Amino acid sequence: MAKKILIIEDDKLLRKVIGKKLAMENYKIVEATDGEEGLRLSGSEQPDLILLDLILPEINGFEVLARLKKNPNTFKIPVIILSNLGDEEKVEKGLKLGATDYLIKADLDPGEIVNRIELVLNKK
Amino acid sequence: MVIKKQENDKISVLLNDLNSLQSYVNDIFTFSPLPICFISPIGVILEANPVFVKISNLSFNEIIGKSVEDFFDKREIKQVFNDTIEKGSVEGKEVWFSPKEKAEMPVQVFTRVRVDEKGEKVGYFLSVVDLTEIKRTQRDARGALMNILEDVKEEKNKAEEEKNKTLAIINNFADGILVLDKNDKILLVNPKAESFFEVNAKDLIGKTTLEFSKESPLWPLLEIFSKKAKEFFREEINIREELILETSLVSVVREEEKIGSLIILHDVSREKLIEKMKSEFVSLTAHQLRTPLSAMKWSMRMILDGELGKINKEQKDFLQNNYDSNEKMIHLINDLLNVTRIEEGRFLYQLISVDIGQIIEEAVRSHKELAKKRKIKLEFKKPAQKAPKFMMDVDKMKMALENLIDNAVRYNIKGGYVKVSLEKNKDKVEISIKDNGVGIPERQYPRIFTKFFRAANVIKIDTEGSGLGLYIAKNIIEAHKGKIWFESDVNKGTVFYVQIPIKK
Repeated sequence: MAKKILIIEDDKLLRKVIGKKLAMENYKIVEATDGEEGLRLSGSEQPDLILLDLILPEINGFEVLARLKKNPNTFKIPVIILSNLGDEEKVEKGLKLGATDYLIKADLDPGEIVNRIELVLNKK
Repeated sequence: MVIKKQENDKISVLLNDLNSLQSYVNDIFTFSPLPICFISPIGVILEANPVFVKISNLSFNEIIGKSVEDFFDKREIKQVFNDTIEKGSVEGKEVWFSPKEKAEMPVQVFTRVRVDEKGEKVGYFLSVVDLTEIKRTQRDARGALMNILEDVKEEKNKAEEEKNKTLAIINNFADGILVLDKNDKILLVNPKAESFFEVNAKDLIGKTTLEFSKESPLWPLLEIFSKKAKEFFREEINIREELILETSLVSVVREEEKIGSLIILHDVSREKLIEKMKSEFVSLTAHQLRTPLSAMKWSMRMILDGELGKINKEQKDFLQNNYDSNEKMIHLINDLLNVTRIEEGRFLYQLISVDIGQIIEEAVRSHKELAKKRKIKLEFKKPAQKAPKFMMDVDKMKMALENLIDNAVRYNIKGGYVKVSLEKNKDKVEISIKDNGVGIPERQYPRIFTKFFRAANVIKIDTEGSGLGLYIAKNIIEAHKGKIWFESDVNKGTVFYVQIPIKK
């Protein structure tokens, strides 16, 4: 059965490109455009993995991550942060809050992102 | 007859004795180094010895018969004679003596009454002692003393004036100032320091630094003071939310001995706020720029890989060029972000113990493809003996080495080489990156590590470098307490040397 990935990303083009790439790799895609929606869909859709952007309207990615990890319904879902905030402090904060991996958008090609996703899903 | 002869003989013997006595007295009178004269009861000089003649500046004949009053102040000498008559002598009275055609001189005068066998006064002996030299010496000594006293007074006034000036400067200084003595007792707190800590100087003066508790407003400063003990420079302390001070302590030394300390407090709140705003601005801008660049990167990659349908060779070439430009843009933004972090002083992050050889190998490996494309032989000559592991920020160290290797490959000639080597030298590792590329023009040596600088001959080859690579590399090496330098020959090549101390 195809694994389900929730993409929480406010930029339309990024969401579209990565969604397309993952669909081509046979993943089922669910998309959220802000944190609130992301949290809701995490609970209702129970994805196998969440790709989480950090700078989001209303509640930011760190807040979303913290709430996902506090919620017994979602805390087990692996979260990969996919952001352009590359400060080491941010990376450390993300990993401390419970993210499985932290990827910087501009440094990676879609293929490399898929590889990192597979790595996490295979470990699970 | 016989008796008369006997008497005559006796007289002759007596006369002889008298003659030799007179000659004896004359000799003494002549020999005496003191001016002496004999004066009649009415004050006429009857006899004078050669020294008296000399001192009076007259001839012997001129002196004899002259009134003694002509040589002295009349009133003074009258007094001397009155005293002589009364007491028989005068010893050492100071009077003025006036030689002929010469300036008056101070003298001490000595007199004694002379009486005959009947006890009748027949005159006076008078002698003088010249006091000119003694008086001059006394005067000189007094003058010198007065001068010294005057100098001391002047110096004291000057010092007082300087002190007032210094105090005025300290009191009106824009920075806060605290002065401590050698036992760390507070001697001075200027008004600015009072306002920084919201304290009253008189509550602090006289106390030593150990007398303050954690509740004292001075505590953040004293904490650094106790930790650093000696001198410190530009240590930041947060006094209140809106007040950040940069504090420095310098020892006040006089003649190689420490006599106290001076603490300077400089308000940097405004700079800090601007710095924070700048950093937030750059960070946000970089993020905003990276988002569309990432979207382009991802889309172009998928199209280039044929994932969104087949494209022809020309389309692929065009797109590849766009992809490469996009990558350069991302690289430039990454460099700018790094420079911002360097300037904020928070560049090094996590130090872990690693083998530098491995880092070099990775940096070389990541440039193999570029080197191959440019037909450049890139090799790493490993050390005979493995260098020991030491603490470093791995990502940053790799970035520094990559920047150096990247330049060596990029600004090389076709068929050129880049040789990277590593050696351990005592407690340091030495890395060299040698190329036979375009070299650096000598007049541009001083600017080579400055931000945004690109050498003229390099711009001709590639117009798109950021000019940040060497600046970043230098900052990384120096943050690891290392050194970086180079040797270069235009059109022959360049060697960059990096030396880093091994810190375990």
